[in-house]
Amino acid sequence: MLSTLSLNPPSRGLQRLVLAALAILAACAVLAALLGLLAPGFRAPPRSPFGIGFREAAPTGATSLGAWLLAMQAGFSQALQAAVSAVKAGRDGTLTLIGLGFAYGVLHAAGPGHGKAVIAGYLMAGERALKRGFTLSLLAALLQAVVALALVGGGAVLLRLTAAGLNQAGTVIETAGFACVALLGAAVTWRKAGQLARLLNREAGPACGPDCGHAGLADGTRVERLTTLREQAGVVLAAGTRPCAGAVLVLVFALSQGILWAGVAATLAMALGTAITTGLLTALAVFAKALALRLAGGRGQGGAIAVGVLELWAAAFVLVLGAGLLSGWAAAAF
Amino acid sequence: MPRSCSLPLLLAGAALVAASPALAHPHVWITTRAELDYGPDGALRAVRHAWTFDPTYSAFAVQGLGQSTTGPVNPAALAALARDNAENLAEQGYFTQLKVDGRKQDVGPATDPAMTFTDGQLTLRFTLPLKAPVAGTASLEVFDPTYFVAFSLADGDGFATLKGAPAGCRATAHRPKSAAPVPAATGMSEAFFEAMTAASTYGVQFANRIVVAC
Repeated sequence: MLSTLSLNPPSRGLQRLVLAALAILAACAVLAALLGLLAPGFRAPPRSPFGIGFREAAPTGATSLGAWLLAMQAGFSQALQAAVSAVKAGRDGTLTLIGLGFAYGVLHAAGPGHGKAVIAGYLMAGERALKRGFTLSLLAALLQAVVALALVGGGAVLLRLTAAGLNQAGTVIETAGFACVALLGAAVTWRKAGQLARLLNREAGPACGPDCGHAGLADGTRVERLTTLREQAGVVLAAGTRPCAGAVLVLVFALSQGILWAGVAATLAMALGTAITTGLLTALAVFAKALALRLAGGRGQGGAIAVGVLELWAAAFVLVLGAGLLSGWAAAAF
Repeated sequence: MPRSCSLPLLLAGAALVAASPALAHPHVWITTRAELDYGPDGALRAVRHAWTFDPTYSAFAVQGLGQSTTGPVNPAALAALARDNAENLAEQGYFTQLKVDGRKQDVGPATDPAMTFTDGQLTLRFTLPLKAPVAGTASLEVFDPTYFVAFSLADGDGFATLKGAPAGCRATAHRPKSAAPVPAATGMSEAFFEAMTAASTYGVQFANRIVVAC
């Protein structure tokens, strides 16, 4: 960052900082409005004494759609437990268990989750390829399953941790995931602020032909691609690090019944289900971005700047979300 | 540029979708039984809770407390867990709201915490003494406003017992209409499908209430 500042004329670096700061302020305003809408009071609920180490989002009250989802998910959790018992009893419950796990994943992902916000924010900020978005969703969901497996497999089976120990491990993992969100947001915000600053300067400068500014493009593209790969790894980490409570519970229950493999099967099925729902959201974000680009198309510099502002804002949203989650400020809604 | 107005709209829409409505759902199910303890003067002086956890959370809570993953649980560890839980529950006000003649009653810190683990289910017991014992019509609600824990009253007459209550006192349960009972741990039950259709009444969970009229 410092080298970028010193290499550019000071006005450019300053401009970049100011743009980033403005975007962060705008993102703060929107997140605060969202929280006011979703979780009036801004207070994160106290951790439940019966919690399992990481928060689950807070309620908005029992609106009809919310109540419906709540009851569906509650029904599924209990049916999962019943299916594990059925497998234990030797009744043929394996397929039921996998089917239920899958459906639970689809529904669970329809609920709260910062992961979806991260993926959508990132896609709004940069990506526009549907396939890339789906891959990110799938990888994040699989990582979630792997973290749950590692937590229970490593913590409960190998280390014989108690519930309190698992809780502590869960809290550490959660915090690391939130830090990933903030870091990812910071990195993308900084990059997008730079892009917007360049765009704005070009507008002020002499008219630019199709060939101008393309010197050293090949090199630039490679750097860009590396940055993008790093960012995408960051997206998967940020969206998928926090395991799902349902998965951890079904794993520990299966373990207590002496059939851990049944829990593993259910957890993997859950991940696939989750990927479907997040994938749908991903598609929404990609189409929204495509729409924005089309609206901006043919508007020349003004349109390009509008898209640049949108991208920078979306990146700042991810940063603010991460900071909010870390500080507990945004935990009321995510 | 009238058309560029759709950009902020788009932004707002995307933000709303991204931050899809926050909906917690329970991960822990607790069946409650309460014993209301009356003094010789007819005043309610304590509530003793007995909370039975669902098998899945029970398995999580006793994880690592036995010799093996499927073996019996160390009683000393259960006692320690009961103490921890009772202490931590203070922060949530023990999920308990007690009113006598419509006035909210303060309860002191939990006493006599105990825990048992039988047939794969954990039961936590603790006593909440009233700061100022008082006579009157008592209303007892147990719920978690964050929905992480779903409380329901024990079936039948088991939901409440009265100890030393004046003659003529009677406890009645006000259960949520068509609330789905917790399915038995064996096999897929009708209740699962009922839970899906009865979904819209889920919020009435709050209506779990014991009223003791004398």
